[in-house]
Formats: sequence, structure tokens, C-alpha cells
Amino acid sequence: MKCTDTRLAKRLAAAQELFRDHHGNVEPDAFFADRVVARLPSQSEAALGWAVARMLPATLALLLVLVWLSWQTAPVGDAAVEVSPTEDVLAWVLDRAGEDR
Amino acid sequence: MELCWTLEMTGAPTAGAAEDEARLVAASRGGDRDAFSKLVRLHQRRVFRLAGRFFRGREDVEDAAQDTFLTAWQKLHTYRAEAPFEHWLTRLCLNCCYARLRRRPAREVPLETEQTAQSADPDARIEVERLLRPLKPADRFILLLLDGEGWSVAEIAQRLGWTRANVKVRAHRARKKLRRLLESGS
Repeated sequence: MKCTDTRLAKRLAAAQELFRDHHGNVEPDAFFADRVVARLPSQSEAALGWAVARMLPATLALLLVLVWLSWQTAPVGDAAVEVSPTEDVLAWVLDRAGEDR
Repeated sequence: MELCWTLEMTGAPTAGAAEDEARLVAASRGGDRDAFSKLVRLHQRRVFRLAGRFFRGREDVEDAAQDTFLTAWQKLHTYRAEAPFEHWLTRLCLNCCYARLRRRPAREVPLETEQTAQSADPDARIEVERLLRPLKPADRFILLLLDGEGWSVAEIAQRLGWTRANVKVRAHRARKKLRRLLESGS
């Protein structure tokens, strides 16, 4: 039992040491700042990004309103069936065919 | 815009240096890339040192550092000069490292050690390293801050913008998991 405890204590100490020493020890080179600056988005890109971020919700909201309005004003039920454009065209074709004979 | 460059690379900035830094921040906010480049040069070593705590490979450390500065550039307008710029940047860096750690599977972030020979007990260390691999990124992150950086719960909470209770709970869980892993390896 004591042996297990000692072993666990040893491991805990090793784990702490491992975390303490865990380091990449990487230093930035002389051109790091230049690489960062080269990756910065340009003013136009930033403006476009800003516009997209701002405009997208507004566009979606407008689209929803338009869909809702069109759904509200669209002819429903019998009204739509009565003035079916397909029937008008069919009647016209039949009339023309009768006249030709 | 040419700015006087008197900031020191290490240690606490003097009053004049802080003023210069404030000017650089203001100029960067206005889109001045040269000023931002100077800001990067001023803080790059600190950011690399912090990112190096979580990643061993040069590429990973550099990527995390670049992410930090790119985020800083995009979010400069949110920086309030109430706290030092360095603290704000530290928070960004930690968040970038945390996000990067979470994106990577655990097996890709081994805790490999180069100084095993210098360790008091190299065998124990190698064994522990193997045992710690299944630790989740969040647990690894908090343990590296606690044991690696030696920060207190309060310091971690302040620098990450988390609540103390949140840090405490995470730290407790991480320590519990660590203990369980080490015990199960017996």
C-alpha cells in the first residue's frame, strides 16, 4: 500500500514537473511582424466584411417580410382556380382551331 | 505617421513608453499598419512565450501567435484603455490557444519532453507523459496554466475573462482526472 502511495506521489510530482517544463521555447524571427502585417485584411476587405455582417441580417429580414406579404396577398382557393391562366390559353387554342376549320 | 519608439521589450513599461503604446494603439485603430507592426514587434516575444506553453512545434506556436495578432487587429475597437494593452492581448492569446487546442484531437498534442535527461526521475516522467495523453484539451489547458505558468485561480479568471467559480470547477475536475489517470496507471 505504502509502495503504491509512494509511486503515485512520485507520478504526481513528475506530472507537475512535466507541466512546468512543457514549453516550446520558440522565439519569433525577424520577419514575424512583417508576415502578420501581410496577412491583415485590407481596408476594402474589412469594409466588405463589415457590410456583409451588417447587411445580411437586414436582407434576411426584408426577404422574410416580402415572403410574408406575398403570401398574404396571393389569391387563394376558388379565386385562383377560376382565373387559371392555363385554362385561358387552352380555350384560346381551341377557339383558334375551330375558326381554322 | 512616425512615432517615437522608446518601448522596452521586457519589464514594465515606463510612463513614456505607455504613452507611446497608447499612441500606437490609437494609430492602429485608425488603420495604420506601420503602427500595428510596431505593436506586434513590441509584444511578439511575450505572445510566443505564452503560446509556447501549449504547443511545442514552431509552426503551431507561430500560427497561434499570428491568430492572436490578427484577432487583435480586428478587435482593436473593443479595447478599452482601462487595463494595460498587454493584459488584453494575453486574453486574446489564451483564447486563440484554447480554441486551437480544442480543434485538435488529443492524440495530436502529446506532452513530449526534450529535457527528459535533466529530470530527477526520467522513467517516471516518460511514464507520466504517456498517462497524460488522454487528458482533454480543456483539462490540459487549465493544468498548464496552473502548474506551468504558476497562475492562481484568480489570475486565470482575470486573464481569461472567466468567473472564478468556473476556473475553480474546471481546475478541480482537471486535477481529479489527472489523479485518476496516474492512479489507473499503477
